[in-house]
Amino acid sequence: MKKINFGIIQFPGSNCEQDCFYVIRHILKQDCTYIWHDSSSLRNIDCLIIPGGFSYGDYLRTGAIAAQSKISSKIRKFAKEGGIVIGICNGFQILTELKLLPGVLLRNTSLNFICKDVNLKISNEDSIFTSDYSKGQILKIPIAHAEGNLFLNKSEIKDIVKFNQIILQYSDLKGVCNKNSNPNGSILNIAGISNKEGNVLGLMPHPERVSENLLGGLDGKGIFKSIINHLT
Amino acid sequence: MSKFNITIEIMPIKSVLDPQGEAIELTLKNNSKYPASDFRVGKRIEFAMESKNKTNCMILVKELCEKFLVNEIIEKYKIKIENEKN
Repeated sequence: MKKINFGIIQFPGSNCEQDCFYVIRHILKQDCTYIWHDSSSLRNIDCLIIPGGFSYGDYLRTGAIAAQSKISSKIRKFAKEGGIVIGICNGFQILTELKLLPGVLLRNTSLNFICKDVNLKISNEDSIFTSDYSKGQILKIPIAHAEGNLFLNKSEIKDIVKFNQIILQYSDLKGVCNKNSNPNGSILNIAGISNKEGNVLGLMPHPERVSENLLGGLDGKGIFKSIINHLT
Repeated sequence: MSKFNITIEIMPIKSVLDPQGEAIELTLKNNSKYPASDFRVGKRIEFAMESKNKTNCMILVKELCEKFLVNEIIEKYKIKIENEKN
């Protein structure tokens, strides 16, 4: 069977790329290559991963400088042509700065860097990224960020609801999304959203950190499996 | 070509959480000597740019703000352009 070719973008300050590489290559047995931010080509990849970290030291605004790098126009073109892109944590912040996803990720309302496991509800199981899960399924995946508080203006909120772009929400174990189950103040408890077309996903939780039992669970593996199922 | 000195003042818009302003305000609440409130903390960017005149320079700087230096979903900004003093 043909292997899916994943590309992982590396910026100065990215620090989750090896975790993603490990999951793709060694757990899911697919092809995977790193793509340096200064490259002028994405090569022949099927899916692009923008990993977590602190690209360019989070200077100016999180993700803002990465969104101006040489590779950014190639990422934009790949996404606009329907290529599958997933941005995790800092990758999500970069995708909003690239304007491939709506909104901005602000400081957490607690002002703290939060590093812990959270419960997440699958709010849209029909997406390219969540077809391996069932509707309303509750996952346990860690977050590790200081800026995960998604801010959207009124028209953006209307749009994401209308186009079913909310993919993952912070919830309790019963699937209730409220202030108590919201770790960072994110609007509508949003942990992950897609673009209107559905081929670009940004999420703050780290699915690559819970993709084998040795690391405490398999709840994140389904995100990558869903992508592989879609492309196979 | 002339050289211009540019200053950009960037502030978070009102509906956006400003944790730095909030932290300053909370700290000062314990100090009755300064009855200060409504703190907002922004940033200031300074740089130089070459352009044939001030109008052209303004067009270019505004574009740079919109594309890179400012995120207008959460920030507002003011541009100041001065001729470089020789």
